[in-house]
Amino acid sequence: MKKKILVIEDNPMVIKSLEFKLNKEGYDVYLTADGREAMDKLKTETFDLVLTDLMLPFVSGSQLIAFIKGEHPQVPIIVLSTATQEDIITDAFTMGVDDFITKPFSPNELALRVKRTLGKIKNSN
Amino acid sequence: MMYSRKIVIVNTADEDREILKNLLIKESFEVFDFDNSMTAILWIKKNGAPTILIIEEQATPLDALKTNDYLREELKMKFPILITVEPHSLKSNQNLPGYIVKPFTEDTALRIKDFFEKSVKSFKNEVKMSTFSLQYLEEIYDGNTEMIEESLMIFKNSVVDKLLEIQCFLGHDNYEEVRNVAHNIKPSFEMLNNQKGRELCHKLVHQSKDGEIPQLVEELNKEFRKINSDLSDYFLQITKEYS
Repeated sequence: MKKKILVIEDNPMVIKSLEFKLNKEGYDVYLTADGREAMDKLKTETFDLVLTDLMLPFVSGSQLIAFIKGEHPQVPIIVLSTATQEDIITDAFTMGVDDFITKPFSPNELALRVKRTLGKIKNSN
Repeated sequence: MMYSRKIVIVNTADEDREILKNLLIKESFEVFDFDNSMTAILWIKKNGAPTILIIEEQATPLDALKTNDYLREELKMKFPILITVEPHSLKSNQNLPGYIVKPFTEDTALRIKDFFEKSVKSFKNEVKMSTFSLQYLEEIYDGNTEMIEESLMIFKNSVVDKLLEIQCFLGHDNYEEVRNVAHNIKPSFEMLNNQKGRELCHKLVHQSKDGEIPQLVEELNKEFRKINSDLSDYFLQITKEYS
């Protein structure tokens, strides 16, 4: 069965590239452009992985991470950041995110980090 | 303008390598040949990128794809690569960016010459369109033209909307939101390898005082207009090529 990945990102070029690459890697991809919509989705559906930006409309990245960690602690999170967000990335790791990837991402790196994060979870179960 | 005609060959079998080398020398290429990929990588690292790397699929210690990855990811070098394959492995390699089926013959040399000319043409186009390059999009979309064009259209349409938003926030002296929008569109400029747009967004987000923002926004708008104009030329050019 295909793994389900929820992508929360508001740059349409990045969204398109993530969707293309993740579909190609064999994942089912669900897209949302803001944190509020993502929370709604997370209330009704289950995902194997969340890939999220940290600067989102309506709900901040840390609010979203706190929500996921509270409601779905088993779901791993990879943060999509820009190269100059060291402080935000540090905060995110403190809150328990599993990994981060900088935008625009290298295709091979994305594939590798997603696979690795999903593998880690599978092994710990 | 003269273009380099430097070709690096990686092939384990001495005889095959010698045949290909001689065929290419006849076509006026400067050829450097190696029996393994690591020696070739070290040579490239020391002497710079060749015009084309021709490498056999099962090269050792790194095979063709791993060598390609290493050159791109670790050495940050990008140049055209042709992969040579055995006739029986052709089917499994149809998705590779460029491949040549053994044995090497006069026809092989002609194919490589043709590939070289196309590479030079593409290089000329990249130089001409200095505000953007398709390098990253080609990588992410595995050269899928339709997806690349769709992505370029997304750039045109989404960035123009965001720049209008910035203008609106600027009108209300809402510099925080201007910074947020600049943060949002920064990857779009990066994906087109547009350094100036990327730097302007970076400055807007991280290094600007409020008073400097209107000037930076003006420069960003100007850069976007330039890219937009080059994109229109690009679309016109490909429409002509299709018709």
